Formats: sequence, C-alpha cells, structure tokens
Amino acid sequence: STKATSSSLDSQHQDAATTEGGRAESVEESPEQQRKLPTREPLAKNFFIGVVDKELLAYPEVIPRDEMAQLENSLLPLKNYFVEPRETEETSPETLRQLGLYGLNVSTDYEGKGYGWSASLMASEPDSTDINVTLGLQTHRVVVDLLKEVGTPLQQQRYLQDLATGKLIGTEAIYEISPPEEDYFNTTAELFPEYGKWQLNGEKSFVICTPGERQLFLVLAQTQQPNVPGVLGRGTTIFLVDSQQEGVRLGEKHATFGCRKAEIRRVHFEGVKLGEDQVVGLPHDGNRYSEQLVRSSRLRGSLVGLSLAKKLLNELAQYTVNTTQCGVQLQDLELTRIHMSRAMCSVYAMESMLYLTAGLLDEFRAQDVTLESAITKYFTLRQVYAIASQNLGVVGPKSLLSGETTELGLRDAAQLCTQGESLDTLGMFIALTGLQHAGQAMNTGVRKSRNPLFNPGHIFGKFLDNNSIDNPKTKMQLSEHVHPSLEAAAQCIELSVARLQMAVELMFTKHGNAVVERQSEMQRLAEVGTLIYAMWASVARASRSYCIGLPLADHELLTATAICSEGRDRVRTLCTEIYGGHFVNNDNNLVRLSKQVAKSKGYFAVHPLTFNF
Amino acid sequence: ATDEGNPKQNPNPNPRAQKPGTKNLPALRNPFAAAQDRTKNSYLTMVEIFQERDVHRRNHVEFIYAALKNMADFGVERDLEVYKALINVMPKGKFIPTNMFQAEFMHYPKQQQCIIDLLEQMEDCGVMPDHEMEAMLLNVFGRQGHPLRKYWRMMYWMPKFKNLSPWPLPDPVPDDTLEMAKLALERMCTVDLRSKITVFETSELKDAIDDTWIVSGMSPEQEKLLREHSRQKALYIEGPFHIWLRNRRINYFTLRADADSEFLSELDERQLDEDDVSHIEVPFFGRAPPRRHNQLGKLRSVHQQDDGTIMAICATGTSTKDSLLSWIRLLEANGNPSIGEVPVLFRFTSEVPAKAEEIEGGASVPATSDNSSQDEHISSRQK
Repeated sequence: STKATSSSLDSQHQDAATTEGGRAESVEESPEQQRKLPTREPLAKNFFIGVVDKELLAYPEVIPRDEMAQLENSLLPLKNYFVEPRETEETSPETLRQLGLYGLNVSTDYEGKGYGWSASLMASEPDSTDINVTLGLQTHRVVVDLLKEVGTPLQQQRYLQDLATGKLIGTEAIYEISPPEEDYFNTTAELFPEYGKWQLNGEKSFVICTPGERQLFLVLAQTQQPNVPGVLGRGTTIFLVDSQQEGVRLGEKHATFGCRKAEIRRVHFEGVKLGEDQVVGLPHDGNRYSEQLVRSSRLRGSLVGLSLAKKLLNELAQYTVNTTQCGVQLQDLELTRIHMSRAMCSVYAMESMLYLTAGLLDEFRAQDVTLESAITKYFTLRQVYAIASQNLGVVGPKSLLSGETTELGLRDAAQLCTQGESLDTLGMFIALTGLQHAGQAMNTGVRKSRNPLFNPGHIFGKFLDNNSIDNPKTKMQLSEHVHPSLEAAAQCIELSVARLQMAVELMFTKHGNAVVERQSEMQRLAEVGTLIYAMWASVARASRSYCIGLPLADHELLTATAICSEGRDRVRTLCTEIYGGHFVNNDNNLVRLSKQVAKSKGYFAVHPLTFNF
Repeated sequence: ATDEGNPKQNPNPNPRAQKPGTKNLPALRNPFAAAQDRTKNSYLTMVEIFQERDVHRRNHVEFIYAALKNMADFGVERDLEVYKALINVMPKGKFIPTNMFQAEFMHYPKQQQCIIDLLEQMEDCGVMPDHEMEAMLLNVFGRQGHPLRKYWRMMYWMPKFKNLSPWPLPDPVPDDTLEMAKLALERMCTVDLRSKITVFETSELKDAIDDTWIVSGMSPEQEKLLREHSRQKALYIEGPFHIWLRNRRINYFTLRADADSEFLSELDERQLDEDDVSHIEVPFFGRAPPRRHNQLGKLRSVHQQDDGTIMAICATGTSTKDSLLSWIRLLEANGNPSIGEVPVLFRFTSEVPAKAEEIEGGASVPATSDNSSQDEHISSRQK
C-alpha cells in the first residue's frame, strides 16, 4: 500500500493488517476459507487515511474459467423462466424450489449449490429482475449467509438442508414500525435460567413473508444481561424462530408504496418459547453479529437495486429510440442523451462496485468489506432513485399514470430506498466507519495538532507543508496499475483520495472526538467515500475489460473516464465545503434556522402581504 | 395568581402641584381633573370642546400637556386615535418655517417641544404612529420640523421592535387570570418543546377545600425524570415566584428535586478527553448517532439544572397550600403514580395562606415577603 501524503499516520495503522490476520486465525476456518489468499487491509476504510491498495486495481476474477462456463449454463433455465412471459402472474414457492433458487449459497454438503459470494450474486441476477419475487429470495439468502458464518455446527445441520431445498424459507425480522424511545427494539426476550428457555414477546414489521410456507424468522430482540443492571446490561440477541412454533402469528399485510406484490407483513410473537440453541452467536451480543448480517443484506439488497436500475435504463433507451416529437427523435436531443449517459455511468459504477466487493470477499480470507458493502448499497439506492425520478421528466405527464413502467419503477425505487435502513443513517454509518478507522490511525497526529503549544515541531512541519485542497500532492502512481488510456481517470482517484484524507484530518483537528456530532459534514464525507469507491471500481473494471478485449470495452473506458471526472469535481466541491467550515459552507445558517423551525413547530414566516403598521 | 401590578396614577391629579417648574403658566381650568365619566368618548369630547371654544385656541400647548398627563386615568394611553386628536388641536400651517434660519433655530420651540413630548409618550407606551399622523405633522410643522424628525426615527425603530419578543402576547392582554396563567406557563415551558399545559379543576378531587383551577406545565421528559426519581429523596414545592406579563404579575410554583450531583458529575465534560479520536462508535440498525457526551447513553435534559431538577410548574387560582396539595394529587392521578411514594415538602419564600377563606378574610396575608424560607411537611399519602 502507498501513502497518499506524508501525514499523520502512525504505527498503529501498520499493525492493522497483522491484527486483522490474527483475528481471522482465532476463528475456526473452513477449508473453503483456507483456500483464499491472506487478508488484505480494508480498501475503502484506508481511503479515509489516504492509503490505497494498488493491487486491488486488478478487478478480482474469483470464478475460474471452467466453473464460469458451468455457472452460465446452469443460469440459462433461470434466465428463460424470468425473461419469457409466464402464464401465471404469481411465481409460487414451488416453482422457485424447482428452479433451485433457495439453495444458491448453501454449501454442497447440505444439498445446496455451494456458490460463493460472486457466483451466488450472479446466479440471483435472473430472479432479481422480478422485484416482488426477489425480495423474499434475497432475505432468505441473507439468513443463510449469517448461519454459514456465525451459526453453530448444530444450527447449520438443523436448518441449512431445509433452507437449501426451500422447505424452510428464511427471512429477517428486524425493523419495527415505532421503535421505543430508549431501547433498540420493542421486541424483548427474557431468559428463564431454570428451564434454559427464552421467552420472546413483541412484533416486527416490514417482514417479507411467504404465507403458507414454513418460515424461519431471524429476529433481533432486546435483552437484558442477568447480572448487569441498567443501561450497561442492555443488549440485543439474534434468535431463529420457526413459524410453526407456538405464539408466532403472521399479521396483516402492509399497504406499501412500491413492491406491492411482495408479502410485506407484520409478524407477532407472543410468549414464544425458544431454546438456547436458537440463539445465533452469543446472547446480548447481537450488535457484534449485526456486522455480518448487514454486510450480507446490503450486498444482496444492492443487487435488487442494480437490476431495477438496469431495467429502468433499458426502458428509457427503448422509449427514446422509439419516440419522435415534432419530427425529432428523442434520442437526438442533447438533454436526453446526457441523461441517459448519466444513468449508464451510474449503473456501470453500481455493478462494478457490487462485484468488486463480492470479489474481495471471495478472494481474501475474512476480508473486511463492511464499508464497501455499505457504500455499494448507498450508491446504488441513491442512483436508482435518481434515475427513476429523472425518467419522469423524459417521458412526461403520462409517466405517472398508474400501471406505466415509469410509475412502477419510481414506486419500487422509493420502496427500496426506505425499506430497512434509511439512506441518511447509511450515510452516517459510512462516515462513522471511515472515521473510526481513521481515528485509530491518526490519533497521535491529531492530538499533536490539537495541542499546538505542546508540539511546536509538529505545527511547524504543518506550516511548511504546502499541500492544499485545490492542489493536493500525491505520489500514489495509480496509473501504473491500469491501462494507459485510463491514466487521467486514475489521476482523478489519486486527487480525490488525497482530498478525502485531508478533509478527515481537518475534521479531527477541528472537532476532536466531537466530530461524531457534525452530521452534515459527515454526510459529505460519506458521499466523498462513496464516490471514490465508485471511481475505483469502475476504473478497475474498465481497465480489465479493455486489456482482455471484452465487447464494447472502448465504451467502458469512456464510461469510467466520465465517472471519474464527474466524481473528481464533486469530491473537490464537497471537500472544499468541509475545508471552508460551517460559516463558509452555509451549515451554520441552516442550523440556526432549524432552531426557530422547531420552536415554531414548522413554517414560521408570516404571510408576505402582512402589514406591521 | 395575579396581582394588579399597574400602579394607577394619582386619581385626582393637580397639575400645579405636580409640576413645580411650571408656575408661570397662566391659570387654566383643567377639565380632565374635573371630569366625572372617565372614558375615551368623554376624553375626545373635551378635546373637541376645546377646539370649538374659540378660534384662537389659546393655551393649546398647556391643554395638550394636561391632556397627556391624564390619559392613563381615561385608559386611553395606548390609543392612537386620541394622540391624533391632540395633534389636531395645533393650528395648521402657522408653525411651518419659511426660511433657513427659522428651520435651524427651532421655529416655535414651545409648540414643537410639546409635540415631541407627545410622541415620546407614545413611544414609551408602545403606540406606533401611522402615515396619517405623518401628514398631520407635515401640515403643522413642515418638512423641517423637529417633531417630524422624531416621527421618522420612531417609524424606523418601532416596527423593528414591535415583533421582537420571542413570546408575543395578545394585545391587549386578556383580563381573565386563568388565561394569563396559561400564557405565563406556556412562556416558561418553551424551554422544552414537548411540554404540555394542562388545566385541572380542584373539584375533580373530593377532599379539596379550595374550589379553583390549577394550570400545570410538564413535559414527557419531566415525567420520565419523576419516574426515575429516588423514592427516598424529597421533592419540594417552591414559590411563589413571579413572572410579569406586560403589566400583570403572575405567581407560580415549581416542583423541584435536589440536583442529582452524581449524575451531573458523570457528565462533567472536563473528564472527557476531546482529543482522543481512537474510539469512535458506529451504531447499527438506524440507531441514534453517537454523541461524545453520552457514552453511556445518558444525556442531560434541560430540566436538570445545577441547583435542582425541575419536575413541573404550576399556577393556581388561589395560590394556597391547599390548592398546591391538590396539584400534587392531580399530578399523581394523571400519569405520575410515583409521586405518591415520594415525600413532598413545601418551601416558601413568602407566607402562603393555607386555604382560600384566609385570603377572603384578609386576616393573615402579609404583603411583603420576609425571605425566610420555611419547610413544611405534607404527607401526600394522606388521601
């Protein structure tokens, strides 16, 4: 890895890789894990400290050639099923079982297909074109992913086979309509040590159900550690709840805005008795396993967004080619063309990010892709919504008539954006994760910068440093690792990474650990991190495609170049805003204004025509 | 809960006695002091009579001064129409300077000063002039007149000040004490936007002696603090404190607990190392983003002050101990059951009557506070 600028990195960061490796060894490794390459330092997290791993500009080829051919062959029937018009609208679970869609990511020991991350994402592409079907399948796969990673051998034996064949359909039950004021969840579980049983009470909302089938709910519940009173003892525990257990009841279906054919329901749990073997991981420690859980659900959720975005782009292209207004084809209008190309760039970046992240997971042992998966979802959902709403303008007034594809697309995009975590919290997550990583690496330097009188040498060095946000100095030489045609694009990434690192350092120096309260700046940081990863993934992919001569690779080069130059400018704007501080970038005005808005409980200005005297 | 805090001016003013410096003024019958019916109409009638008495309007400056002084008695000191009627007494055109020297050396100084004083009184009473008054002043003194300059300055500043209060009051403020008490409590409760103002009637309780109303202000945050308050530590009803709404005073009481010093010291920012950025927490599942000060999930609420925790505030119709006792019982009955298990003490800064009859009897109501705080036990379990 290469440092972006010669700044406040200390030895802690150098040790990071070894500790990562150490952690991985302590966990018992499956043979599958051992075949992988040794762990690398996290890619996106390191952007925040201005470090890049140039080796990772080689887009991962994790599925070997022969397996790829097999995979493509076995996907043919799936593609045919989902592309060709069907007699019945509804796809029954039985059909999905026959297509083998439930067992994609279950290992072959349990009668699954045994696909890794990349392969199972690829294999779920056909079904992801039908958003109502795929929601249920993706959440099923997330449950399988979690069981594979943190489930005990007993749990794996008990559930994985049924999950693989589709006799049992997994689904997450995490979110609630109105979370409590103080706790994580309203759903609580209590342990009765004398029976060794848990009792679960509460209700979960937005659960994607398959009525009439046996289901396995993955429930997060609030629990209290027995010996620790008060706030300290509060924790969450992950339970596996079989729908056939006593006390589990499917509630009413939510009337959702989009994805209306998916069964999104409430689920009630009334005094459900659970054995200790139904706890995933350690009790009260659900937050730790949440990392694996959200990683998987973010990746698989991104795939749904990607498919929707592709579909929207294809439909838009069709429409512009086929429509002529006043003797001009829509596709010839510059505005439409720019819009279409923007959508193309977004989709390209989404796809590159998704498979780069999955590739990292497949290629390296216990690779940390927490941030990468969050970024992928953040970028995908924001862009898919942008594409969906932009399309309305191109198609015009009829775009929102009920039943139009544009209308359905907008509804589904909006639904995806709101389902589960909101985009704002996801942004916060990205920024905080980056800052957490950067904080560990930069701590010493930040402490010196914040106490200038005690560290005159450090400050003097800073004065001599003539690095500026407009013109950062970089010596990463990324262009050596990509095709020469992408030199300019690689330069964009370099500048952006350097700017991000400078912005992070400035934020730490300015706010210390109160940085976690500067949400507006963090939102900018999240966008910067996201853009850089998008640029990185696109350049890596385009370079690979061009080098091996894939069809239309020259246009991929163009796409990647476009993504990078647009990304560089946006990163520069955002970092300049962070550098300017809240008086220059208008945040201060907005924050002040919000106080009055809250006091007046809404709009406070009087009517414009009011007289005072 | 309220006292009339507006000290009325001398009901029978004698202009000569009040203003020793104006001895040289010619003797003038003051119609305002002699008037029986003190209303706006009679006031305006007197101005009209003066205008029609003779064509020279002799002594009009003295008349205007006398009229200004007696405005409060007629209750017209905030009435723009009356001020205009007084300006209208001045002859038009006569005082307009015709050359530069007149303009510079305050042409007709006594008359000009009189109208400046009138405008000053308007400003003190918060009466904003209008454009018609500008026209009247122009007709009397011309563009160079000093009253006009005063007027223009007033029209610059007064509109800016008019709506500057963050707690606007209705104009005029209502006469009803209950409405005033509600306004006062609403104003004080703006510290916590979730606060709710409730009006209780003591008749809801069967053993309340006073039959009156209680306006109580409390927020969910305070309810929570009360729930978590230790059953062993006493709560205090303190007061009466005063709040002024324009010219009326409202007495109110607080339900207070001693500050939780242990909790506050945990939040002491000096113990935190702001420079340490190596332990930033990342929340999962859309939880509240972390703050640096509540590492244990604790956050200081605005009600937890260094000198005590305010649980609720109230104003009652009679400000008696009995009505305050009823307040505690009503709070207990309305969603705060824990208050029944906590000892509640009275701690007054001035003497407070036990029940309403004592006030009516006028037997033992001391007018001034003696500042000796007295603690008195009430058992809230005695119901």
